[in-house]
Amino acid sequence: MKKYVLIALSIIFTSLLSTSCDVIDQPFKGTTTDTTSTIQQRNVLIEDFTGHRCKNCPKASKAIKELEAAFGDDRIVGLAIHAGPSNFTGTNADYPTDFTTQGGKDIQNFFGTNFLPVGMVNREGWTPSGNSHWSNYANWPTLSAEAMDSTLRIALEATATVSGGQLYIDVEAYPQVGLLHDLKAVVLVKESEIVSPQLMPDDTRDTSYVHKNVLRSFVTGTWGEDFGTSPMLPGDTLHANYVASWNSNWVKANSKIVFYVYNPDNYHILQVIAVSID
Amino acid sequence: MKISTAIAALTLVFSGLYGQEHGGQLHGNFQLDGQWYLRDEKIDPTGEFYPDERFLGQGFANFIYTDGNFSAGMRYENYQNVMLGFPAGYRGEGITYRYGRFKQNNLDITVGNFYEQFGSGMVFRSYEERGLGYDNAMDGIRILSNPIKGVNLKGVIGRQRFYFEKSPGILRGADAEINMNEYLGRLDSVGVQWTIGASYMSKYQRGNDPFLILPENVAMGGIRSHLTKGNWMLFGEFAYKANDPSADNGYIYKDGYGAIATLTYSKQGFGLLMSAKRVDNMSFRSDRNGTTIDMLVNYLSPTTQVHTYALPALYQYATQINGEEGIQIEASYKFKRKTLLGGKYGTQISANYSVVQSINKDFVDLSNDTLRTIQGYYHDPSTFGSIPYFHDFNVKLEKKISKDYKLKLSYLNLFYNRSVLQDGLGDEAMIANPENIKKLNAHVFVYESLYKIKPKHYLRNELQLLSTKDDRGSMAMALAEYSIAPHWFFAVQDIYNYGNPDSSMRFHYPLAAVIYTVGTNRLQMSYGRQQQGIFCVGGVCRVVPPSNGVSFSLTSTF
Repeated sequence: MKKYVLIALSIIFTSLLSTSCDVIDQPFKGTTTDTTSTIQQRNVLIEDFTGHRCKNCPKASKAIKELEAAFGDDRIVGLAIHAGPSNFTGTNADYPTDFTTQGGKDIQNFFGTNFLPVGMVNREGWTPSGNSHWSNYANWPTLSAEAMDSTLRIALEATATVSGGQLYIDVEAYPQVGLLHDLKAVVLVKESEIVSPQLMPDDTRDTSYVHKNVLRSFVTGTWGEDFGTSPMLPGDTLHANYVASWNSNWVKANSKIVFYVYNPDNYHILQVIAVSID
Repeated sequence: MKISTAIAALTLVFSGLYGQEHGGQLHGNFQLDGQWYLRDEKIDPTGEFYPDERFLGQGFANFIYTDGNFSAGMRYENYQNVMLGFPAGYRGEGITYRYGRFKQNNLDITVGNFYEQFGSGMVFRSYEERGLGYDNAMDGIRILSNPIKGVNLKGVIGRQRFYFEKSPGILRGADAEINMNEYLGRLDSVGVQWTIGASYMSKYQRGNDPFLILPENVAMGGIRSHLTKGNWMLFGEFAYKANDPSADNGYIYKDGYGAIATLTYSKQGFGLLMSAKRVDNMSFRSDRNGTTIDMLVNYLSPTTQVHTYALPALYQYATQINGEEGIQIEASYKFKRKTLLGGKYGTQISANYSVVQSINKDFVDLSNDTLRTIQGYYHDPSTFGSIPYFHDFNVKLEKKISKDYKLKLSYLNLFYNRSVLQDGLGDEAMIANPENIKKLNAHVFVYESLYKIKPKHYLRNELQLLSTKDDRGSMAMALAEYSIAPHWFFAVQDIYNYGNPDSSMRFHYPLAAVIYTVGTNRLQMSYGRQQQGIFCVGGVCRVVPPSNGVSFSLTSTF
């Protein structure tokens, strides 16, 4: 009897004593990020599901802006996908701009989100029955830092030109390690500096709000096109060209082409780049 | 999943073999719900909520084997796909709950999944609320012990359920409760029962934020006392939480506090309840980035009345974990039979008043980055907060008119801060723009009657009226339920939103249901239209979509 009592007591009180509490007096880390490297490293695609009538969504946009400022907008590629319930994304007299796209809705439906704001960082953690691919904007710094520290498996390059109302895109990819699965390539257009009303966290309507990284259209299909067949080895070069109509309502100087490749088995994004349009 | 499947399979095999020899018992229950959705262009003009699958179904089954001091169990869950209105995180199928438990010589050990609660739950509560899709079951080890007379100890370690996955944080905690009557003999002699308790819970979650130094170990502790003497009972609990930057509190490092006290008095025919609560920054999740109803470690019990009538239930209060203060007073009295007010069968009358508001918060200016992050705001406990969240004053009268007829009459006066409770707006925004606060003031009247038509035949009626100029406007509801014991139950109901400010939205929401019960099996079929709602917690909102369709539910126990 006494032996069991002692075991129980020792387990309980050991659990008490061994679990300390960290008290933080100074919450900020110093900035040590090197943004001068010219060697391509693994970048991060943050798919930010948002809506112009979602009051907390500007917080997510701000989080991306802070990450871009800290790590550079070549390493942090934000993509604002206006998709979700019409309470948050629908148009009316106060919010007249329709930012939604069919591609954005397809992605939102597939990954199973029905609340805003929410996002995915390189679609890490996706499984058919899991939820780990969803993340709150507050967790994006951690997830981005971890993704950027991971090994680059394929490097990407792209050029984009608008001529005669057509958008011409040329992409190349260079495996950095042996890739034993097929690849899909996705190319899309995003646009920033769009001034249109947004519901703000204090429940007011900001008519001068500047929307960033808005998904405009997929050049490829939403789920991309076949890009490489297993196996792919360092030294190989993958290449593709795409042509699409350029929408004259988009401001070229504020737009970028986003090019990413992903593993179709698990949807994880291996690398992403965003390039300006000539 | 493979490990849990193996454990479950072993459990069943074990029950078959071991049970035959030792006479163990296997029991359980099963439920299957499904809905065939119909396209309804009135409540969903664009069809955005109309599911591609047309039919959604979900179910579960529990199997529990017991043999003396040993028990084991498992639960299988299936969502194909999850029905509208439930959290979308439930995707797929699998064994989500499995455990083994044995008791021996004052030790009660559980390995695997378990539910547990310390005190009122302010420090730790692991529980399931299936109707809400809420389940934060622990997966780990629990030890219960009664080492000394009058002393109960609990120790837990594990991770919480997060749909079909686990939370990233590890929980470690202990609780001790002492019956003071075992040590203070005089208490018995003066008719006092006194129990005191203390609880502690710590979570560990890795912190790898590039900008912030995050506390990886966060602790919460609480003390409580439960005193009874004669018809009186007094309960109080106080809890403290160390710095815990989270999505709920905007990643501030401020400490958290919570206190709750309840006083009750009861004697034949009369009951009195008074309770008070104040919480400040008491969100505690096993994932600091968790939102909505995900991975909550503690439970802050409400000090408002939970209504079961359909119309007042549309505006139900939900505890604000970032801070609130409130009181509740309830009294009930039964006038005796054969008195002026009691009549032939007696009359029960009760009144309840509850009010909840913000706590006083003086926010640090955003320009002071460090102080804003460390402190967030200053709180003066001696000053009341300025933002009303909710109040509810209601009176109810229950009377048996004859041996075949009973009635209940209710009146409710409700105030509901929609900015807080529907939109999830924070105090700082409301203080800055008080004119933008969305409110709801409503009067609700309810008549309920129960007739015994003949032996085993009962008719229950409800008439409800919610009168308001706010939100969706006034609504009226009528319900009739006819039951033929012990097998049949029929119900028809309609809610008419006749006062909607948008005249094109003045819809009827009809519902009809049939239930057949035989033994421990129950089959329900219904057709109905569901109103849309928005559910917000911690700044993240989820739409509970409108729907229309035929649904069924099958439950069985063995």
